[in-house]
Amino acid sequence: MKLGRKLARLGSAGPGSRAPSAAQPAEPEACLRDDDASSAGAPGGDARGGDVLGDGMLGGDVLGGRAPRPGGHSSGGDVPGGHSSGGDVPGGDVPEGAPRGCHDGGAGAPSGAPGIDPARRARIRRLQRSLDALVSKGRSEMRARPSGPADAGDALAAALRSSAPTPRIPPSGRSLPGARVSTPYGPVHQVEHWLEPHHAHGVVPVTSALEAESPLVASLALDPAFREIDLSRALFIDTETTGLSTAAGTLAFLVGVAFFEDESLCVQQYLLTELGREAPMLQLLAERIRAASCVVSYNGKSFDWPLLRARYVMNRVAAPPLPPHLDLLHCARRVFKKRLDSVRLVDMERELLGFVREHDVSGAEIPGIYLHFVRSGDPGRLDGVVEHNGHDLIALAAILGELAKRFRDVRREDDPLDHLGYAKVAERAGDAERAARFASAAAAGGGDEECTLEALLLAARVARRSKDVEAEERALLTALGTRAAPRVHLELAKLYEHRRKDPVRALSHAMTTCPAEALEERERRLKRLAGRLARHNVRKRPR
Amino acid sequence: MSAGGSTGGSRRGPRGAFGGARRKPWASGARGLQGVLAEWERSGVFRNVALDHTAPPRPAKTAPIPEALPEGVRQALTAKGVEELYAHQARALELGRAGRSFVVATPTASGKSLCYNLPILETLAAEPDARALYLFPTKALARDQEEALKALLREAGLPHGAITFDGDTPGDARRVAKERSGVLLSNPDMLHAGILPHHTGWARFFANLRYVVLDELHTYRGVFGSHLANVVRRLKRIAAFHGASPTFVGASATIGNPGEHAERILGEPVEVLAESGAPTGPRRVLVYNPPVVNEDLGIRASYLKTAVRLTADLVKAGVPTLVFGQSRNGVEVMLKYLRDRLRGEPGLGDEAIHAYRGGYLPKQRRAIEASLRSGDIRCVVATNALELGIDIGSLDAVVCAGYPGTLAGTWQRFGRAGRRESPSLGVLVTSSAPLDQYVAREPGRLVDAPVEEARIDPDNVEILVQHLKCAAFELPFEEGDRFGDLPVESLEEALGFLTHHGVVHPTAGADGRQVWHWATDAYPANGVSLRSVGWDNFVIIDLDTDQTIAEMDWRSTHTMLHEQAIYQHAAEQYQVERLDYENHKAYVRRVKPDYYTTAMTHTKVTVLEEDQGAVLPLQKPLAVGLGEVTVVSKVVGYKKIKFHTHENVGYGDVHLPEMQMHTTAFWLTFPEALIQSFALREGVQRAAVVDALRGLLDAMHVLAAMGLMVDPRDLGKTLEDQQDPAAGRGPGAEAARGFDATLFLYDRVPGGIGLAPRIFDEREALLRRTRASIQGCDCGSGCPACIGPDVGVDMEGMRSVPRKALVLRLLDAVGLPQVH
Repeated sequence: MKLGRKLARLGSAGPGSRAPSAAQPAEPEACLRDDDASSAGAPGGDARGGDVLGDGMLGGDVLGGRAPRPGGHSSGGDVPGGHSSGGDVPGGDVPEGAPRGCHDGGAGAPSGAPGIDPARRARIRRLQRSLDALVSKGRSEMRARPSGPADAGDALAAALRSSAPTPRIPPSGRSLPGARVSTPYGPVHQVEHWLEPHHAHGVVPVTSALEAESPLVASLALDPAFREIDLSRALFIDTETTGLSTAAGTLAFLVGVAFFEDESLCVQQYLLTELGREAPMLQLLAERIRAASCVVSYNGKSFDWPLLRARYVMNRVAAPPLPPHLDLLHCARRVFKKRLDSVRLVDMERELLGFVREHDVSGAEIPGIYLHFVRSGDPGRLDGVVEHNGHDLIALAAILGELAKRFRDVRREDDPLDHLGYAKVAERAGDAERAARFASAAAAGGGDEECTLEALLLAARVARRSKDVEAEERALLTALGTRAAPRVHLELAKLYEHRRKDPVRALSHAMTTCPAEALEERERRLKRLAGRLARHNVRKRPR
Repeated sequence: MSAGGSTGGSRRGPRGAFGGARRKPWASGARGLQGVLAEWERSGVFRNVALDHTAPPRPAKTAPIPEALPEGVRQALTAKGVEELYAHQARALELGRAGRSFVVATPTASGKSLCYNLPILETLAAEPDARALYLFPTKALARDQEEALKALLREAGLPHGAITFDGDTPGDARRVAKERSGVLLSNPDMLHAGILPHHTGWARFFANLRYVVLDELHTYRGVFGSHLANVVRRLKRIAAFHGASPTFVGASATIGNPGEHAERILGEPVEVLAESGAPTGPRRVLVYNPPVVNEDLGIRASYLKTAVRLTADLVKAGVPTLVFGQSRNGVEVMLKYLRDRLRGEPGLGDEAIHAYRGGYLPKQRRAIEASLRSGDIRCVVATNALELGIDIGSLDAVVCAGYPGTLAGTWQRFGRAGRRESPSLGVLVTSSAPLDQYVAREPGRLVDAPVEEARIDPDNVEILVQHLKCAAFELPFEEGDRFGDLPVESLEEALGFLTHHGVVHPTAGADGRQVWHWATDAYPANGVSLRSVGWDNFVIIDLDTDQTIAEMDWRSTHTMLHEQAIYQHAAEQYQVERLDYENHKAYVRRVKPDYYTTAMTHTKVTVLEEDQGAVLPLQKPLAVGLGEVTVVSKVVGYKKIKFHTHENVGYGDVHLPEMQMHTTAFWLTFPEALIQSFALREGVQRAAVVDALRGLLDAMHVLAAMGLMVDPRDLGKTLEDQQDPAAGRGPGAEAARGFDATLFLYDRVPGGIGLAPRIFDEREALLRRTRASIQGCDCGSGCPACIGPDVGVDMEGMRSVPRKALVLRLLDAVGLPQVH
């Protein structure tokens, strides 16, 4: 039998396959053809109103013909979606009628470089150079004046707009957020926005991350590598993917990073607009990572980073050496697992930041939305995905700040279980003083008996390690008053035997340690104490 | 095949951990092997012996250990007492050095593992980063080999570890496996679902992959083999992506076509090492056919009891004996009988007789093997677990209770007997089953006939498509890429199909070439089981424990998991209480019935396209064909069959949707005119002739399955006849004028697995063999061993000629006389 005949009779291609539709797109890559490869790296022929030329690595990129940088714009719509109107698209506001994104005219439109006249190309290069200069100046100086790059961008955009083709309206009537920027590695489709320094996610300003002291973060992360880290150079990373596995066939189609420049958080999202063109964005990411002091993620240790590492291998791009990696999921879990059943990012957002997302794209929908775009060229709800990712990145910074803030000093208003969680983290990190503070706050916080008991035992442990017998005894006796639990008796037995050298009391506690210690061990203890008691009495008698 | 290398090479002196020398020889009993044989001759056992054949001894052919071998490797060999290599081992080393892929297909216990271990050790000694991948068909085999290999590496002074990577490997060991271990032992399923999709994490492993060993290559046939061939295609792609092109080494038990089979699996030419340089002693082979106890039904004395009796004689005489049963149940029964029989004999307590079967933990296996070597165990009763290369050393006698189904399998079992050059005995006790009786009737085939060939079809469309999905997931396809030896046009056709179904998405690559990317959120390998076709398996849930006890493919579900069916699993019986067809779940409960059920299926075959046609050159030419067919089957009911007596004790209805399958079929047509004239001449009704054809089909089915080395269940059979009210459409005939009675034999794997084309090629031999088989059967009018018992169709007063005679006369009429 011929294969074709057999294939024709196969009903389905199995899991993952879709019923073939009659209207399969005839030109699968109608959108976003990489057509500037021939034009000396400058996307000259790619006349899109919103495109800005720049090296893409810099904070100064401008989107949509407008610079949504601190102070540089009038409207408050600098946050992806979220608080303002639902229709707000991350990636800045595009002037009505300005073409953007992918639909550069399809077949009929003059999209190729060949038609461009040399004078115009020279002009574009000149503008690009000046833009680069401006931007790098902005980076080296304190801060680029917002008007600078924006002006350059406007000028450039105006130059380009003159030959902008009519955009093709996608079926959903929605457009692709962001724009393509050219980078030394090739074109990358990027969505970028800058948050104002006072921008808050929920009730927490994102800049709170800048206030986190590195030793505190090192304790929080249980990773000494963070002790000397300059957190102002942290890179926040979050990806959106086509699947849940980290195997070779899963793509990180949206790689979002966020980093501070001074007080402003810059959110940059690299969107894979065409399958197989990942290398430039991976290289861009590598450059970002190399420049960063550390990486901050949520579940990135077991998901995002392994997946990205796979993408580097698949695309034969050298993966950057990963600087210290702070996985906030692990931190949050350590602190909050007692109190919260779930410590997903959105749970933390709600609990710590008081932020509740509205109209958020659910994680389960994301692969489908992207694959719809890949197959049809219709961005559909990709803007929602970009927004979702943007929220995640901003939340990362705010959560880091808030986690550190609550760890810095005991806050009476927090739940005693949280204090206990922090006390445990501090204990594990070897920060005895902080552990003691949080433990006593947890014990005194009016939580349930178990919480109090655990806090007191922890306090006793810490006191023992710092050889503070008084404090240890105090904590244990308070614990005993809370509940005469065998493990409290056991600790008291040890205290009186070894530190107080008081076999009488030790023995009385040792009688009731079951089942906190194994039978044989208890027997040995009792025997030993009986012996000590005898000697003790002998010593006492002459007196 | 010897996992631990029961015969590492030509050796003198004691063997180490690598070998299996018995430290304490069993007390040679009063009589020993020769004594038992003499006793059997005296007592008339030989009256029922259908074959008594002695294979002559074969001297060793050796070659010196090459001077160039690294010192450490030489020392490892010396430590194992290997002072010379067998000729085939020396040749294997040469081929490995030349980077040429080869397959070793020498008999059991001829030192096959050294054939691949030696070149690999040498490579590892020269290249510290080199890696090798060993694949075994089961987890147990890999774990068995791991220890032996570790010891070998240690003795050769090589720092490369060996580690088993399968579903049971813990997390930190997995990391070691990925990053450091020189030799990775695994199974095809793990490679398919656990390694290849994650190849980016194995970049170092793949980049340095020098050798891939496929042991027990003969087990990869049919569906499993077709899957494996595709896994190999994927493996090669991934290795190439990481810059490696490993040498492949296969090791196979004796099969008819080791080279062709290996080439089909590997998709590249291979050298075949089929001649063993290992010595063997004289091997006597007996086929014992228990006497008939019920002439009418063709029932013979119990083969299990007979096997037990013969084994007991051997064990009592001090002959270490290995008994093979066909099922776990059979093994348990024989174990009990043997212990009962031998209890009270000195040194033959219960602990001296042991069972050995799949499902034992490695530790238990090691303990049994050690006791066998030390002589504490005198007799082992095993399922075919031992066939898969577990090292228990060698014994003096092997008794097979029941024909293992293939000549190759039989010789593999017999190969377990024979300690180096000493004489050995292999006894096959045949059951009443058709195949067994065929062997008993023509026992000479055991010695003369070529052993079976292994068949696979890597291009089976359903299997291929699933693996292309996995492959696309692992690495996008680029225009011009190859997928093993699949023709480029076919590959692009298949990718087009996957594109059409939204599984892959084509884009223009950097250099203008088309690139097909994976474009769904599924993880395709999870949906593909290498042991079955398709992806829509049913799970079987035990209602008492709420545990999933097994999975079954959709097709088998209809016949085996319909409601009220008795499902047999691990020697337990379960009744299906509810079949949730929508959600692919069958709920069962353990029962102890005195019957089992068989489904009654109505099958209709329709020819879609005839690929080849021919005419059998007989007096009355018969048309045969090969082509693509639709098989529609519907389970209409079931029968309850009583255990042991096989009485029919009841019926039930089944209501399940019909199943449709496209596959390949072989067909043989008897012209209506011939049937009519034959009926007239014989004075029987037409229906009687059709019934005789049905008997002929049954016999052909058994022989075809035997010749193809497949489970008879893999081969479907049906007779289409115009007078059948539900008749389909015959080959090349219009429905209007009806069609001639046609016998179909088809592949029961969707898409076909290459069985029907083989039947077509050997159609004449098959027909002649069928005739010989029917004629040679001792029964009067047809029995389960030939054309089925003469009770099938109720035709009062219609049959003046017995069914069997009718079949034979019909064959005479078409001019197919008995050949010998």
